[in-house]
Amino acid sequence: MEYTGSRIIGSCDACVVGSGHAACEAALALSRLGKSVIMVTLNANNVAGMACNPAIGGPGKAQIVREIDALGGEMALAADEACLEIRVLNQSKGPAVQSLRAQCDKRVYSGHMKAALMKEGRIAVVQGMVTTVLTGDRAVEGVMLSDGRRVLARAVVLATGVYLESRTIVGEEVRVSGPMGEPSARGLSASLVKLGLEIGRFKTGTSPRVRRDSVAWNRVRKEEGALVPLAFSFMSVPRLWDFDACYSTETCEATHEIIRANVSRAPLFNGTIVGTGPRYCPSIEDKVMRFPERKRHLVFLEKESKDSDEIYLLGLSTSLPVDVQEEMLRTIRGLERAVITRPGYAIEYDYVLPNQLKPSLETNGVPGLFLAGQICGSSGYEEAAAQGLIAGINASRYLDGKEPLILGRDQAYIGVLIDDLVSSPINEPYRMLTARAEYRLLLRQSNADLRLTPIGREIGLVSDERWAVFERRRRQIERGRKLLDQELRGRRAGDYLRRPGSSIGELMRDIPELHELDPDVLEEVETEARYAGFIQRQESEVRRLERWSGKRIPPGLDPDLVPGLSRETKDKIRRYRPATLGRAADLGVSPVDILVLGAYLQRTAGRA
Amino acid sequence: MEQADWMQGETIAAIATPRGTGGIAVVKISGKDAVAVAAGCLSARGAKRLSRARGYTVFFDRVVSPESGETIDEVIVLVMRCPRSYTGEDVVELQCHGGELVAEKVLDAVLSRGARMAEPGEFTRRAFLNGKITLDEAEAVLDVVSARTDRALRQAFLRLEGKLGKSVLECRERIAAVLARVQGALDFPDDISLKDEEVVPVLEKVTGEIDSMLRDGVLGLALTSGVELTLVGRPNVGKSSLFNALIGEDRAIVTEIPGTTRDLLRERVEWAGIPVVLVDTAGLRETREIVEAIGVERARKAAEESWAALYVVDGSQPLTGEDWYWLERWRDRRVVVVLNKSDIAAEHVKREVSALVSAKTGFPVVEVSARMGWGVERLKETVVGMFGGAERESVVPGSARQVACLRRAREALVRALQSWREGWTWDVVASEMEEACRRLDELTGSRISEDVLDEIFSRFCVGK
Repeated sequence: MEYTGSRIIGSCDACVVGSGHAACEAALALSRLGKSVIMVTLNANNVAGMACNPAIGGPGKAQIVREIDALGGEMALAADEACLEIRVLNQSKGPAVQSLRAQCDKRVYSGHMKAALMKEGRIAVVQGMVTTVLTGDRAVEGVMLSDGRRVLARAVVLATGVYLESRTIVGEEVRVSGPMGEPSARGLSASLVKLGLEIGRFKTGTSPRVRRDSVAWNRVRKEEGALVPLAFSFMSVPRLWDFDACYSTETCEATHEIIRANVSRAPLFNGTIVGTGPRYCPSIEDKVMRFPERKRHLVFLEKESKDSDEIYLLGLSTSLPVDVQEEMLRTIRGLERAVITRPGYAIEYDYVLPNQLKPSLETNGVPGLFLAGQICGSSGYEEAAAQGLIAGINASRYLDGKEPLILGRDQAYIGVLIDDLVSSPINEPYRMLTARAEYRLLLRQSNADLRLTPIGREIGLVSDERWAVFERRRRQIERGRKLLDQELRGRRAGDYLRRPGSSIGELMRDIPELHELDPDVLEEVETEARYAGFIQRQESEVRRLERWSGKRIPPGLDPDLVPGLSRETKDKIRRYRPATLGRAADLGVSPVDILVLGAYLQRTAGRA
Repeated sequence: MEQADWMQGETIAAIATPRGTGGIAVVKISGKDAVAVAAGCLSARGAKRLSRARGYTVFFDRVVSPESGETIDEVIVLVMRCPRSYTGEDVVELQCHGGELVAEKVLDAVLSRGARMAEPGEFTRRAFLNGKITLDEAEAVLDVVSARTDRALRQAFLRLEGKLGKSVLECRERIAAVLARVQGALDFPDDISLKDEEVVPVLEKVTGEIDSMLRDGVLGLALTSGVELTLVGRPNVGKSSLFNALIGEDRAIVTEIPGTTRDLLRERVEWAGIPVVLVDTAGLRETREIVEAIGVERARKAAEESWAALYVVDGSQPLTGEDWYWLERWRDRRVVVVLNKSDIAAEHVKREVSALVSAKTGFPVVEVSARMGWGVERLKETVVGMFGGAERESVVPGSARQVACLRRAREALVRALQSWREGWTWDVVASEMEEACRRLDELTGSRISEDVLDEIFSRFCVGK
């Protein structure tokens, strides 16, 4: 095809579109796997920005961050460098759900990612708006920008976040724009539709930011950080953080009155917003209208950066008009005189229905075209970064003619995330929850390295340095396991830990060698020993279910070849292409059809 | 369009008709080599004809012994071709003359030609896996076929209409609702705090409801498979007379001589719509006589393996040390103590014995006179009462599979509560609750696992 007035500005192995959390991980993975990368972004200054609240981690998400780290990704290192305050959520609720959450300095975070990209030397950054995905006879060939410039690439990763045909909404004011006044990415959606992809519309929102010196700090509560050294990355030295980063206050009846009185002006309720928002991250007007019995809602005051003037008001996500936002703040303790620097807004954007993706994150119809992040209908920095990493790895493997990396639901939260996205109906922006991981006792943040670093090493993303750190920890853990395996007063030493309330400290007198182990290793072997019974049962339950539900359905399966399937089931298989029988069952495929399908798979298993 | 891909499994065979009786017996062969295997058993002419035959061809031929070449039986050969057969595979049926021996010999011939003996339910399993019948149909077919009484049949249909499913679903929804609370608190620790009293009472209550469903489940199982009741006791207390009185005919030989009954005697009856198998046994006593000793051992085993025992004593005399020995040994079993011969027993003796037995064992005591027919109805009612109320028309889980699913769901709930009480963390408690939900899903069939499949099909009799 000829493109009049267009010129080629570069040629590379892979082109990454975007510069957010997904794009950064994708570009870094590609580069570290030896591929040349051109990154095209609307704003080359806005790298790994945190458009929402300045925090990384939380239940389900912390596990993902640790997994990214274990595979050789960057997010955890950035979070550790930018950390202002970190703590463990769910400390008392069990190792499966214990989750780190760090409040980060968003400028430092972004700076870390920029430096990481620069350091590679193989990643060229181009500023511009991609409007077209270029394809040849069979596969993707590159992208074209709005000004006619072209980037040739054998693989393309689209990580466009919430920018596709985005509109921001603050009350009556609707603008065609991206977050924080950035431009909206126009035209690319239409190009994707031309490629046969189906597009949907989601919305998300942010809270107002206020000036730091306009808050009455003596009238809000300080949220205490952890008193033990912590870090996300297995490579970081855990540290104590004492920056007073987070405070809290709450809404009251008067706040809710104001919202109710102005609900007709709320774009969410008057029809201005048509996209579906995340139930798990509702706006304050949503919360007030849906839970009228709640008398107050928590509001966290988060410092966005050490040297920033702005405070993010987590929990007050809203798209009400600015004057209503101001009026609301008047009623909230500590914020009575707060001055809004940037009002909260809702943003509506296009996403690609992720059931059109393979579990490798490559699109079904266009070989070499990968998607990652919010364009796939997910929500959250961590979810985006994880997809970016996997898309980057798999784009690289695609270029090398290798099998894609697909993590199982019993291997990683990342496996759960991608499996859910590509093989189940996504009706709202998808946020990770521990409840989504049926094998969560196995998928602890504390053992992400044991689960995934050997895989990362094999893929080629785990550096020698990281591997050495891992080997040391693994050896220690194995030693710890052996120590707990020995007999102590007629019992297995580890069995003493099966009582709740017991601690490995009590065993140290009898087994002094335990003193030689690092604290994180002690904690891990203690958890393993304490929960051994539960973990074993979960493992055997996994196996019991896997015998049937874990049977893989080949991606290319033509349901017409399976005798006896109902029409409805055939449609579901075509639409969502469940990877396993269990996932098909989750789609509501009838048990009989599941069995019929299972029998078919069993007898065709030997054939190619 | 490509031909649909039907399963043609290893060739299996079995006698499809009930053993021993009937004018004809059918040996059924199914699988990818069914035609070749059957042809190998026929005359040369028959073999040729069979290999060319289209589906639904019927002809007459002989089955010959593979070793001697002699004719075993004359048979009618019916061939059905994949996929138009019960199993969806190639199927050949050999209809031979009734009688166990002939059918066994025909089956032997078939097996010697390379077929494998079918496992229980294997034909139906294949039919199901080839999409020829649905799971509901499979289970319903089984229930209806094996339903022994009207009441059992009614239960089989009620179950199909999903009433059991509904009560199980209610339990599941309630667990799921508190589970959502727990998971909410785990995933949104800043927003949702969890109070024990939101969770624990609900779990306790649902556990109780499952308990009562399980109690009914015993009834449900009884409805489909029948229950065994064994009459045991010392010699000459009137077990055989009672046996005859309970079945309403003189089946067991009754004499004054202790040790008359040597072997087990079984009779099928129906009480309040429940199929019951009554077992008469030899009297329990030390004996040097070898035949009687075997009988005594069988009696003990029957009593310990049956659903419940009717321990019969001579009501006109105090209990002996031997009686107390057995009652103590069976303390944890279902036992009804029957005071027989109440027509000749003195009132005060009966009262004393009855009170003593009640106090020491807690077993129900029923006075009867087998000879006069007194108290027999009351005895039946007592037994029926142990099933959980026979006249109740509530919907109960029927199959062993359903009872097993319920039981596992209950175990998971008990573990959830126990781990909460022991101070284990919420992540563990939540996992147990999830398992409870999953087990209930397996019960209603909205989730499939391989145990479920195995369970279901092992219930089909061979050849079905």
